Amino acid sequence: MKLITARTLKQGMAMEESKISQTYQNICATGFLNEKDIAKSDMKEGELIKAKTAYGEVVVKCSKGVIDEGNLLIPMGPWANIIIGGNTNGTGMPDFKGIDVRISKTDEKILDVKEIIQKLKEK
Amino acid sequence: MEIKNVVCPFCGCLCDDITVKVEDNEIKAVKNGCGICITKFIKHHVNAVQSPMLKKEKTDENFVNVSMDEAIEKTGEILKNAKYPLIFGLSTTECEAQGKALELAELTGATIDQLPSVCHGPSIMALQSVGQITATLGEVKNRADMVIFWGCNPIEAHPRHFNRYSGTTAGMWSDRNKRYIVTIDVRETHTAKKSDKFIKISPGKDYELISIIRAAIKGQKIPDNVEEMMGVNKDDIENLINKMKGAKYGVVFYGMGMTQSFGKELNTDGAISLVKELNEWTKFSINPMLGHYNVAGAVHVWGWQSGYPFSINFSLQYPRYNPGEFSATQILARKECDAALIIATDPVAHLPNEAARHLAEIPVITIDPKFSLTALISDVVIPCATAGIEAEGTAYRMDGIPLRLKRVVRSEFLSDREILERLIEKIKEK
Amino acid sequence: MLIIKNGMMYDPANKIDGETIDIYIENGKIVEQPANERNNNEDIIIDAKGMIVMPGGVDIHSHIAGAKVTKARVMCPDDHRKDVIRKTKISRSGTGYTVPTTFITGYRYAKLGYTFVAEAASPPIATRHTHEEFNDIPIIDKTAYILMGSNHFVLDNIKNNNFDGLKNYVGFLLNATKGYAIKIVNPGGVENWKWGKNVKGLDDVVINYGVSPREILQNLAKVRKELNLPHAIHVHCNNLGSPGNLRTTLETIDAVKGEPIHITHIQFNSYAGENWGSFASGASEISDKINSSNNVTVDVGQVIFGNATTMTADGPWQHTVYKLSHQNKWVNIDVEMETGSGIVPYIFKENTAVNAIQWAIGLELFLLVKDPFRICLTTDHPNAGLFYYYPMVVEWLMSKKKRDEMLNKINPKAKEKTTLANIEREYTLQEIATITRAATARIMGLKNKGHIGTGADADISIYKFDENNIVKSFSSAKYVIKDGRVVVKDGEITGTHFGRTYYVKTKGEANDEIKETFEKFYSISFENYAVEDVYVPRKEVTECCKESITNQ
Repeated sequence: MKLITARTLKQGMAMEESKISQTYQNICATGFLNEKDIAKSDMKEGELIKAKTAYGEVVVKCSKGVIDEGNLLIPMGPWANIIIGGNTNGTGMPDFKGIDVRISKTDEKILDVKEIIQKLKEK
Repeated sequence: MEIKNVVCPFCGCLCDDITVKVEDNEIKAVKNGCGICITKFIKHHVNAVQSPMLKKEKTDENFVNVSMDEAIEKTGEILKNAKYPLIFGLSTTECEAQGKALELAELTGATIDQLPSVCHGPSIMALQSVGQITATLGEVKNRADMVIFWGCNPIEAHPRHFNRYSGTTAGMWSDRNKRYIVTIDVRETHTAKKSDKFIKISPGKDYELISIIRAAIKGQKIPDNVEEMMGVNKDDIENLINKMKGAKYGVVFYGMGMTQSFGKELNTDGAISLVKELNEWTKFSINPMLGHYNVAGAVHVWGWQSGYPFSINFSLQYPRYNPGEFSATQILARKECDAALIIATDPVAHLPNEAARHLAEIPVITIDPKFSLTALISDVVIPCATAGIEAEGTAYRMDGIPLRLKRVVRSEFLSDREILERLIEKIKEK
Repeated sequence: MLIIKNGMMYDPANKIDGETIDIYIENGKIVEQPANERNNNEDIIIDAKGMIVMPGGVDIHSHIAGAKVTKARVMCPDDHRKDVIRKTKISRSGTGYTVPTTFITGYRYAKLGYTFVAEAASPPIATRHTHEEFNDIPIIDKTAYILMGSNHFVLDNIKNNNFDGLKNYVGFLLNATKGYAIKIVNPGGVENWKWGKNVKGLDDVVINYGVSPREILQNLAKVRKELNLPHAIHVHCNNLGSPGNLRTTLETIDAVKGEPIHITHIQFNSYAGENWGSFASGASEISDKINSSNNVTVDVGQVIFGNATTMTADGPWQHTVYKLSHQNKWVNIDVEMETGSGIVPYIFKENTAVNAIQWAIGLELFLLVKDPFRICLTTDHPNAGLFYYYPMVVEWLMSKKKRDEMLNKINPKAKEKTTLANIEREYTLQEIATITRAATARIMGLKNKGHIGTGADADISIYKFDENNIVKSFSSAKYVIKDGRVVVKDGEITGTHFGRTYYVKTKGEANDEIKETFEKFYSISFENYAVEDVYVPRKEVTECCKESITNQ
């Protein structure tokens, strides 16, 4: 699949209020998929999925979105950024849109921001 | 007390018709703003940092409250001792602070970068290779009879843009009926739904589509397998070109869909070249949808002070520019900097993990009114007055128009500019 | 007190031509020689023996600050590498080349001995930006001319024959922007460019408004008089750059029927010929006209070979330059309701016939115009040349030998199509002091600049003059004094205090009609339009009328 990360109205509002909130997590730790893709992977809206790229893996909640088949949209934020690489090919701009991603059902849990930060500190 | 015509410090729209109702130094109500504006004003104190604080050791769990003087002292020490410090952020604070940050970078031999590196850097890089054909937003309002939204979704990211400038607004010679609106995007966004035509393009194929249009305008034939190549059918492309050539005043708005997708600055380069070429037929302009409310501010301030818009290094005592080499993301991902001053941004939330990770290993100072995720791993956290709400200053709209930010409530904390001035004094002393 | 002793003074405004006169300075002003002999250890005494002393230079037309200047800076990072400036203990770092950064602009003008520079073109809605940059330009005093020739309210009032409305609006606009003068660029053409068109002559028509460039010029000239502004209308004529445009220039002068008019970078509007092939000099006709019209003053816009960055509000002309420039960068900005701008990097080449002729035309104009009080030295920086090379222009004017050397080096069309080779005249030091100081200050109406009489601002430049190396003599001053403080010594910056922003206060205020129209068609709120006082922390205001309204 292709990964797209983007701004959304709800993400903007939550970000301006507080990033250390359940609201922010609910909005940003979400993966939007086309309903056909949800069905194909034998999943249901609200279940947890693991998204994996060459740079890492992250657990987000599955949600139906207005998006093409073959694409996964995660709102911009710390969950999306776990799976985006730091190389910019000399442009300064990371690959925020268009990298390859695989999804699978999972029963691991969604990390909260404190846990994400804890992981940063680990070597 | 009602304060009228307040400038909203959120996105590049820089709406300046906001009314804020203040009582006893608290914001009670906000009129005219979009949802994000209202949240920003009313919840500006939520999750706020209450005091300057620092960690005695980076590995400590908890922060210790200290005075502003102690926080500045520690920050000065960190920056003075660093061999290759990074100053990053600044796209969401006002212009004098941006200027002071540059002065601080010059003083400490630092690399200083702002957010275009991860947002509209490619637009500026295209300006640097082919130029820019643009118009202020009032021109769009008054004259545009064709508007193309390419890889941007203003209804969600710049909520009032469509009503104030580009879509439904009525101007001197134009209004919604006279405007033909097209959205080109990989998915049917809310903006696409409000447009007269939606053209769906396969992800990562913007450069191809732009090139085909440029060639077709010059008389080349559109290949028959174009739909296979990029998901857009030949008729749609032909109709689009006819509409463009027939417009009296066309405007293209573009965003992250173009700058962050495969091709990046080559996409923007191509798009601006297309608009330049259209000017042989009719009047066309292209505007970047700058996201943060004062990205343009730092581009201008650093531009007039150093000649460069972002990714600037002062290790040699004069400004040097090189996106990629001096971009915050790369410097962090390659673990090159040995200290970081983060102002008005949250790299732990918004930069790729590989880059954010390095911040956990080096001394970091965060200046921010709220507890950002970066603040949580910093060594020093300095609260500041929020520009545009608790501090005055200048901000530049996405089209380069400068406006004065108002102060609607008082803060007990210093503004970014004042904090940076103190830091500069402190470092000069040492 | 600061005392300058033994210098040879050139103060054309006060008719002092090389006499040795001592200068006394106190509190930033020139004062009379004290009655009693001074024996004060705190006095600073500069011995200027063997040196020439002039008032600080006044540049009447340069592009140093504002929206298009910064866009040009950001647009050419490749250039900046070629001219980097390190910080010092007292000065900031920066980059130069064709569009120097703000700190460098101040330092370099000061090193040349200039102490006042006029930013020639500021778009009203973005003049806040111009003022912000002014506040980052050290040492020199500054002012901004405000673009009006394609402004909606101007065109609309003229269309409706509402002269009082026009006068009130112009007054309001100058007050609101804290500007100095009425700037007119390709009148009407910039509005037509917003529909992809231009105007071809003074009686052509502005789309949707139906007014002509002639009417715009006549009306604004009359407004200037009635508002009692210190400087004439400052005009960049229609048809700039086009072969044969000398006719338009002559018509422009006739159009204002004796009202004062200042035509800027007139070299670009002094062309004979029908096309690029027959391109030739119209300098003789133009200088005849200037010589016989007392109401006309001009600045030349002299070409200097090498890199330049063209930047004007003349959008259609800039589009043409883009096509002629053999490079890939072009910027165009349409500014709502008011004006526009265009930027194109350009190189003036000695071998290119047109450029060589242009170079010669500029010098012809300087040498054929008889009264040095009516012609000013400019290069329309950075359009035709860079201000750091003004001393080269001085050398060509003072030395026929040096001009001939150049004339023999460049494309021979310069000799063929102009009369430069036959002109013997050489400028004297007094005349140089006139076209760079006395004339410019007088034409701009700056009472305390451009001369060293009692009461003048203590802005002085001292040079070691070597007639065998005129360029070196003027490239770096021995001393420059600004507001009575030494800021340059031996060509190095020794002081970096900030100068003042000059602007006018005149009669005019926003009535309901202006506010309503504004709210309907601009994209910002009326209340946020005028430049706030905070942007002019150090100012000098010229009151133009007794009843100046001060609520802007």
